[in-house]
Amino acid sequence: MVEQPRGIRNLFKVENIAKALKALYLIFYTTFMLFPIIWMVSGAFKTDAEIFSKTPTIIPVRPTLSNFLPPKMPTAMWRWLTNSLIVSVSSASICSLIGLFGGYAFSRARIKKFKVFLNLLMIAYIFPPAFLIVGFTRLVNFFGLLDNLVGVILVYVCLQGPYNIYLIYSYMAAIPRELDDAAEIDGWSKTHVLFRLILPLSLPVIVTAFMWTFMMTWNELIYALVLLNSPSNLTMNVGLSSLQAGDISPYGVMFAGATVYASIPVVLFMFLQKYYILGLTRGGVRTA
Amino acid sequence: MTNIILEDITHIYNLGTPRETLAIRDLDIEFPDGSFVALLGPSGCGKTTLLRIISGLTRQTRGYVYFDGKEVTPLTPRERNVAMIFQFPVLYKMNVFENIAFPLRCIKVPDEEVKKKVTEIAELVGISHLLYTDPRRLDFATKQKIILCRALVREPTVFILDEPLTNLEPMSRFELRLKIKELQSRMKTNMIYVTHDQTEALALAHKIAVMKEGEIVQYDKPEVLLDRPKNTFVGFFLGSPGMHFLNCKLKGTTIDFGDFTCNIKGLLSEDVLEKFDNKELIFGIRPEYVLVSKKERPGYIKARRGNITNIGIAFLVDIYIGDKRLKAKVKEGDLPEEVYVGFQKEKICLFEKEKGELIIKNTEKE
Amino acid sequence: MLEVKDVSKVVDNKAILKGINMKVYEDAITVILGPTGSGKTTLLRIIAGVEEPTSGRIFLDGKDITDLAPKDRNVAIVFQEYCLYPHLTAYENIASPLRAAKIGEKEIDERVKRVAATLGITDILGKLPRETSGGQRQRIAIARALVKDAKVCMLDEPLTNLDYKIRETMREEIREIFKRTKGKIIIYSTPDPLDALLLADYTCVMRNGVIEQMGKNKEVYNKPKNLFVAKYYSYPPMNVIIGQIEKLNGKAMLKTPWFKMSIEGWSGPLNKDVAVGFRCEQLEIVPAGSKVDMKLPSDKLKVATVHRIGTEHLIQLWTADKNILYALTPGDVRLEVNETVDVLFHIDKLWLFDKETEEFLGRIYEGSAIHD
Repeated sequence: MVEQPRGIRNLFKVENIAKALKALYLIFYTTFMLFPIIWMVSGAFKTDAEIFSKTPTIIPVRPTLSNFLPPKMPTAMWRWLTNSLIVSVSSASICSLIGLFGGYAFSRARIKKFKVFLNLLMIAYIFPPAFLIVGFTRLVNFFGLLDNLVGVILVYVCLQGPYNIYLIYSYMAAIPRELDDAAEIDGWSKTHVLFRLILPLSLPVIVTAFMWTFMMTWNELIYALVLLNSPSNLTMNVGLSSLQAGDISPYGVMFAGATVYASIPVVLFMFLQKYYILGLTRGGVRTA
Repeated sequence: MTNIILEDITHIYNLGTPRETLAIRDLDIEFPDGSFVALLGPSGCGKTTLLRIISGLTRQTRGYVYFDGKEVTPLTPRERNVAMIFQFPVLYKMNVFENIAFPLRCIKVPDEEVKKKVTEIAELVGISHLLYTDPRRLDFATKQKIILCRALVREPTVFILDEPLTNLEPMSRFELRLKIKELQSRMKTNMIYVTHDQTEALALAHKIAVMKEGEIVQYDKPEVLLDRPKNTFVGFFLGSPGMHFLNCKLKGTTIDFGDFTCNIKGLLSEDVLEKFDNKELIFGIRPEYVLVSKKERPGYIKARRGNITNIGIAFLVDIYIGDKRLKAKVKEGDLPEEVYVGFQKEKICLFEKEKGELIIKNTEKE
Repeated sequence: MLEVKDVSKVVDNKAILKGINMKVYEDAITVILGPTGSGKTTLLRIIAGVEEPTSGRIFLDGKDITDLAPKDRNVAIVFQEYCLYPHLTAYENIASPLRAAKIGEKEIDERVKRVAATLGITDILGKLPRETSGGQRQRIAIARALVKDAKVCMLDEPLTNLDYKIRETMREEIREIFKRTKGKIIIYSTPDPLDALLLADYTCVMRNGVIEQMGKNKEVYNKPKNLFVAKYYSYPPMNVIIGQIEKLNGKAMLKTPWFKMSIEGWSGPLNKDVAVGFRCEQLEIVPAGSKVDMKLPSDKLKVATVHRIGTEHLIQLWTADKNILYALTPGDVRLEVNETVDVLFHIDKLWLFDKETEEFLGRIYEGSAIHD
C-alpha cells in the first residue's frame, strides 16, 4: 500500500479529483465506442421484429440462432469467411517472411548506402492506398488475376510488405551484431544464425508484424471490392456489404455475419498474444 | 550548501505486479552541509535508486526527504535545484560555451552575467581554451568536464554524480578525480557520488556509505571504514585487495588457528574476552598489515611463500601457513621460499562467526 | 605462433589500423594495452575472422588463415559485451560451438560439464543469461570460448563491464585458468595498465591503430620506447617534468627547475628540451618536523588530493606552474588538502624523452646514462 506522505494533503485532494474526472471520461468514452459493437452482437441473436421494436433492448428478450443458420444465413457467407481467412493469413505470412529477410538484410548491411533503399521503401506510403488503386487494378488485370484471391493477396503484399520490412528492421537493429559474430565464430552457418538466433529473438516484432498485416487486410474494403467480382470469390466484408439493399437489409443476418467476422481477429489476438509475451520475456536482448 | 536528511526510506519497484522488487529498505541517512559523500556498493545494492530518490527522479514508495528541514518529496528535480552528472555526457548541438550556458539561458539570465559565469567556471575546470569549439569532436574526459561546468554554473543545492568516471581511461580518471575534489572543496557544495570503485570513494569522499542489498551497512569516514569495518563485508569490500579472513578460536588472550597461534593481549577488553572465550571467530587482517620477514623474529610464524605479483607500487605475495592461505602486500619483492610472518596487532579485526560482525574493542575514541 | 603481417583496416576513409605487425607466442598471455579507439577490438576481430582487413595477412602456425571463415580458423573469442545468446540456457550457450561442429551429445555433455567445473559455474548451467549476475555471465562467456579448445583464445576487455571488486577476483581467476592450459595462444585486450601488470607475459601497447611498443612485459614497463608508453603503462601515473640537456665544460648536463645533474657517458643529442620521467615512489614527502636530507633536491609543494590506495596514500601535488606530481606515502601520515609539504626527489633513476618527438633518449641510473 502506498502511504501518503504527510504534509501534502492539498495535493492529495487535487489528485483525487483529477483521477475521478479521468475515470468518468474514460467510462463515457468507452461506452460510446463500444456501444455499436454491443448493439451488433445483441442484434445477431435477435429476430428481425425485435431489432425494429420500439423499445430497444441490449439483451434479447427472445434470443434466437436463426440468423446464423440457413435459410436466413446465405450459404455463401461461410465461403466469404474462408476467403477472408485465406487472404489475410497468406498476406500476413508472406509479409512476415519478407520482413524477416528484408529486416535482417538491412540491419546487418555493412555498406551505409543501402540505408537509402530503406528510406525509399517508405516513400510508397506517401500516397493513400486509394490513390494507387487504378494502377494496381491494371497490373492485376495484366497478369490475368482479376476476380482471383491470389491477385488480392499479391496487392496486399505490395501494400504491406515495405512496412513490415521497416518495422522488423528497426527491432533487429537493436540486436547487437556481435551476437551474429559470436555465432559465426562458434561455427554456425549464416542461415542458422538467421533462423535459430535472430528469429527467436525477434519473435515479438514478427508476431506484431503478422498481427498488424492481418488486421489491415482483414479490414480492407476498397481493393477487395474492386478486384473481386463473383459472389463465391468475395471476402467477408465485401460480401456482407453486398447484402445491403436499402431499407430492407437483412440486419439480423448482417449482424450475425459481422459478429463472426469481428470475433476472428479477437481470437487470433488472444492466441498470438501468448507468443508475443513469450517472445518478450524469453528474448530480452540485453546480454551484458 | 544544504543539509539533506533521508528518513525511513523504502522503495519497491513495480509495486503490485508480479515483478515486484525491493530496492531499498528502511533507510536513514544524513548528508551534512558541504560534505562529499560516496555511496559505495556492488551492482544492485540500491545506490542508484537512492540517488534518484534524492534527486527527485524517482518518488520513494515510503519515507521522507528533507532539504534543510523542508520536505521536498513533491518537488521535481528542477524545483529541488539538484544537478546530476551521469556516466554518459549529454551534449547539445551547440558550441561548448552555449552548452555550459544552457541552464542559465533557460531562466533568462542577462547575457553579461552569463558570459561572466561561464568563463569563470570554464577557467576553474580548465577548458577555457575550448569554449568556442564543437563539443562532439572532443574526447570523453573533456566532454565530462563540460558537463561538470554546466552543472556548476547553476549553483545547485547538491551535486549528484552517478559513476561519472567509469568510462574513462585510468590516466584521465586520476585527472578528473582531482578536478572534482578541487571543485568541491572550493565551492563547498554537497556532493553525493555513486561508485562501485572503492579506490575512488576512498580518494574523494569525506564519508562513505557502504551499501548492500538495499541497506546501509556502514556510514563513516574512510579511515574508520578501513580500520574498524563493522562486518566482514565492509572489510572485504574496501581496500585493494580487501581484508583476508581466517577461521579461528579464541582461547584466553590467544587466537588459535589450529596450526599456529597468535597473541592478542591488549586488543580486547576483559569482558569481551570473557564473552567470546572458546568461541569460533573470524580473524580479519588487511594484506598491508601482514608483516613478512626473511629472518626469524619473536612472535612470527614460519610460512611458505607462494606467487609474487608486481602491482607497480608494491608486491602481492601469497603466503601459506599450513593449509591456510593469506595475502601480504610488501615493498620488497625479493623473498625466499621460507619466510616469517607476523600481524600488526592494532590492525587485527575479530568478527563473530554468525553474522560476521565486528567485536567491539574497548579503547575506542568514537 | 600467430603472426599478423602488415594488417591495415580503413573504414570510411578513416584508418583504424595502420600496418600492424606482430608475433604472438603460445603458452603465454599477451596483453594488448591501449586507450579506447586505439584499434584493439578491431585487431582481435580481424584475427577472429569476423572482420576483413583492408590489407595484410594472418598466419597461424605458418598457415595463411586470412581467407578462412571464422569457424575454420581454430580461434575463440570472449567479447567485451559477453554476447551470450539470451534465449538459451548457460549450458546451451557453452555447448553452442560443439553443437555447430556436430559433436555427439555425450561428448558435449562431458566437455561442457568439465569446463563449467573449471570456472565454478556448474550450479547455474540451467539458468538463462539474464537470470545471472555480471560476473557469472563473464564466466559463461569464457566457458564458451574454452570449451572449443581452440588454439587461439582471445579476450576483448573482459573485465571492463564488471564491478571493481569482482574485477579483482576475476583477474586472478583468469590468470589461474590460463596458467593451467597448454599450447594455447592467449590474447587479452584492455585499457587498464593494472591488467597488464598483473597478467601479461608479453605486452603490446597500441595507440591510434599503431603498435607503439611490444615485448616482454617487464621490458615494456621498465624500458618504454616513448613518452606515451611510459605515461600510459604506469600505475600510478608517471611523473613527468620538463628539462634541458646542455653541454657544460665538455660534459652533458641535465637541467630542471629543481635540480641540475651531470650525466656520465651521454651520447644522445645536446641542447634539447627533454621530458624527464620518474615514478611516484621516487617522490618522498618528508613528515613535518623531520630533517630534510640536503643532498637530495627538494621543494615545497601544495597537496591537491589524497588518494587512499588501500592503506597507502597517493598524493597529487601542485607545482608552481600548475602541473601535477604524484607521490606515495604510508598510511599513517596524515595530510590535508592545500597543505604545503616538503618533498624530496630521489633522482637515482630517470627516463629521458625528447620533448617534441616524445622518443626515448636514454635512462639515467645514478648519474650515468644508459642507452639501450
